[in-house]
Amino acid sequence: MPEALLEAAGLSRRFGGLAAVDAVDLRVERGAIHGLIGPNGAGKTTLLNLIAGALAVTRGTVSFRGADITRWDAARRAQAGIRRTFQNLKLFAEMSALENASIGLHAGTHAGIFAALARTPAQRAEEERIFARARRALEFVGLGGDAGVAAGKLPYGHRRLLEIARAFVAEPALILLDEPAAGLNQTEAANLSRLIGRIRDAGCTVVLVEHHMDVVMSVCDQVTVLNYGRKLAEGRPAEIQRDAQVIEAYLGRGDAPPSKHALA
Amino acid sequence: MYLAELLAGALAIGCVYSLVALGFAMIMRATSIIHFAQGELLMLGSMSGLSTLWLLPKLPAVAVLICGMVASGILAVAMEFLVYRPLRLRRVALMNVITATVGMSILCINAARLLWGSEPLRYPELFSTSAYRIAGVPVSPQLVWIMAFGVVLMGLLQLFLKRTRTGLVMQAVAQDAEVAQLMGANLTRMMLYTFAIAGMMAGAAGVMFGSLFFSFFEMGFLLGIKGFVAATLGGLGSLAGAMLGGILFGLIETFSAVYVSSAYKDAIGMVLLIAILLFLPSGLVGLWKARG
Repeated sequence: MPEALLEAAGLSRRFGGLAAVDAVDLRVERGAIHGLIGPNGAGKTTLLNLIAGALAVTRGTVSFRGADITRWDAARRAQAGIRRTFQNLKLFAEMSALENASIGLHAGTHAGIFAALARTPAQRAEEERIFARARRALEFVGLGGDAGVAAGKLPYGHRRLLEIARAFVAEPALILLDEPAAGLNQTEAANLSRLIGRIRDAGCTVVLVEHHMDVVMSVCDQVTVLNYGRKLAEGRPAEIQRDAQVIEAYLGRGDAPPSKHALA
Repeated sequence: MYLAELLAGALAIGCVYSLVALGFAMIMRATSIIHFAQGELLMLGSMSGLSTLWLLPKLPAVAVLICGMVASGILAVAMEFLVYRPLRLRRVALMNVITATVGMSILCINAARLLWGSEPLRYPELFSTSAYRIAGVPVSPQLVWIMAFGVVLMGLLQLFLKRTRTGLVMQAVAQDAEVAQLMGANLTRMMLYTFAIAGMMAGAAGVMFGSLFFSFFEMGFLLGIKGFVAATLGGLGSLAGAMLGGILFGLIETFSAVYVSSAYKDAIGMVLLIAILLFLPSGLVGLWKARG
């Protein structure tokens, strides 16, 4: 069995009386693209937030590279190599695309204010290295031509890509994508699928929360289905598409024969 | 000729307001706090500059300016470290933190009265008294130097924010602290830098104002309010707006004092504040964005 990069055991999160995520076990293998799907309100984004550390866990544990990270805050998890994108884009709107992509690298280094002010040659060299890496990340997602444009002025689809570039630039071990295809058209979604494949090929493990079934079914190695906060099914995309329980969760009980398009 | 001197005076006092407004805007952006002790940072910078001059009368103007900046910078950092940060960490409501800044302001005013007395204190002449002639028009060197200091300081701040890595991270924190933290930004350190810079700007403004007029333990109250008006005029939270708002406020105040009445000089500023809040709540920057 391949090594697990991320493991969640009995993970629960309650909001008052509501169990948004209820005793979910999750095992994400290193090098995999792991999809999280489910109807609206199934707890997908909550689960992603528990992995990213944006929400505190009510019960259960999360481990990453074998270390228990349940009590780590989001910033520490980010430092350890878990980066994410946001469903409702959270870019630094007034800064250029290149600056947005570079922030993750700037902030990660431990240069103080005096070194920054003194602008020593070592400082400048590091700055150049950082911007070169940020530029490569922009080119990687296909935004090479937009480096100087303010993030707030980019078209919607490009902002989605910039979020991915900002998460990818530090080459994290695990990248969490929260509905990256939301609002994209068919062509853009197809490009996104290829991009997600290339992110994995570059050595990042991917957890993908997505409603867009074409994207999920074309790129994921493994899919976990959530419903009412519980794990409903898990398996390869083809298995999930045939799973009667999953179809019922999405479409309700009915006599219609399950088809690939029923899930789309 | 008279107009030129008036304009120079307006721009010089405008630079003072711009520097105070910049401090307001930076702190506002990074922490959402309206920092009502900003005027007192100015006053303490002014007093510190003056005290340095008493000890070392031969000190050049730039050195006095730096002394004022360092003193106010240290004080601002102390306020953040000892008062505002502990309040934030306890998740005290923002309104209560803002109230604490009013408390800091009153504390500083009273401390200054104890240390420097309640009489207005004159600055010794920092600059040559013989007028410069610019394009044939005589202008007081004091005004020229104050404008120069103001412009250089604001330029340096812009360079710092746009061209250095720390500056970029500070901007990111100001735009979205939570996400910036996920990208590895050290929030507490960036807050400290923000207060240090806002304090330094206010301290410079204090030395500049003191050398123009005088230093006084209560000077910070009205100057702080005026800086706040300038920041509001520019659009609260916008740095470019704050700089522009300060200059504009200096012009409005100076010319209204001459052409309306100097007795109502301060009242006009306050009427302006209320008018901005009523009719132009996002300030000049809002106007710009609405057009763009």
